[in-house]
Amino acid sequence: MKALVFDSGPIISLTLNGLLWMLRPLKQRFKGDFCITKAVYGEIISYPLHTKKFKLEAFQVLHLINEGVLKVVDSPAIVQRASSLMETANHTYSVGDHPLAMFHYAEMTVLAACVELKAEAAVVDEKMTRIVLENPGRIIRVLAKRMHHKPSMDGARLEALQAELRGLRIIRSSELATIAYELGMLRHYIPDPSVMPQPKAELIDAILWGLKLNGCAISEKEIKQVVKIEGK
Amino acid sequence: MLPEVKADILAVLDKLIAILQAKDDKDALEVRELSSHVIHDATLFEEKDAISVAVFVYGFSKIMQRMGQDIDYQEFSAPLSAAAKDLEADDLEGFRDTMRKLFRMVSSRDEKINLYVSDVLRHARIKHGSNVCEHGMSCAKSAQLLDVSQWELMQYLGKTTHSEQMGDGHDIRSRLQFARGLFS
Repeated sequence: MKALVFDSGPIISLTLNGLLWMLRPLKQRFKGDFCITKAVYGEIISYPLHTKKFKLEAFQVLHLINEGVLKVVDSPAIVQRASSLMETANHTYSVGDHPLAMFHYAEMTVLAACVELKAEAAVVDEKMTRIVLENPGRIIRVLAKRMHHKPSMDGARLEALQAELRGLRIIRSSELATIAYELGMLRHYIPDPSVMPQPKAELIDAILWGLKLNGCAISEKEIKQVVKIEGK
Repeated sequence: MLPEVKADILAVLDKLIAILQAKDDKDALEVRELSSHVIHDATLFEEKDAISVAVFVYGFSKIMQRMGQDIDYQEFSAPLSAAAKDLEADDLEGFRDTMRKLFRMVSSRDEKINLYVSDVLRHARIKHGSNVCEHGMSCAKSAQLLDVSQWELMQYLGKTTHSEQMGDGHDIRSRLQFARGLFS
């Protein structure tokens, strides 16, 4: 059974935009599993259930799990691989003698689950996990600017990390929303052209900005590109 | 505590005490700027004490903004000096006790502003979580370090320029093409 494994971020940004419902028809279309790991469950459900502020949002996500739209995955193999990935990833970049522990265990469980389940992709909105796989050299330049110390990268560890995660692709909630839009799942939001000029372009712009403003790491430039492609 | 972190925290506490003793109109802004100085340490060394000081200093600057001349600076100068003295002497328990006392002093200042203060301190944590993110930590890691939820941090992070930095890996067209393939 094919699978997508979700990090906390895309679930959060979709929920905060009232778009969590989209996962149901997307899953039907995908004909596979939409998975979250036990650690991600802890972040997006267990933690806020003990607070007031995002408790209702946690219930909404829990509902999707109860309905079988999201599946919680856990295994000793995922746990072991996640720990190993975390050890490697959190020693890849250093400043002086100090390794930069940049990644959280939950994020590593997402990548580990992808490997163990042979998932099609990870769905990750936050930037660092994506950049370390896709553009690791860029991290050094940003760290150098921000940390005021010269950072270094352990080439061997980076190679080991990339080898273990070879072939893993990452998409964001913004890509999911764009595909949902292309498949007509959001057509009920498109107003009559008498209400506004270019309603399709305005809708896709609104969706992507909504996701961006709730934490999806998509740039303004990317949003403009998508609106240009989709808004015709 | 690492020597670099100790030196940075002492520098911040000394500057804060100096600002409170000088007392002028720019105090709140000067204090607020101070809170960023220890974020490098928080990122690099995962230093909870550095975070605690950053959150307190930021929160205190917002209280100063709100209460203006009604706040008694002297009342805070003494425990701040005590905290600095404890830290200088490597008495970490004493330092942390005094920091907790300072947080309680700020929170119990006035019944009317108690809720405001809780919000301010919460906001300070979220804001510094965002700063830590911009220093290269992942979102979940930053949330853990600042003891805030990812829900709160993502909401705040989305309104910063965080996603405009760094550039990207794959371009948007190829990423969309791949995503389309998953649902075809």
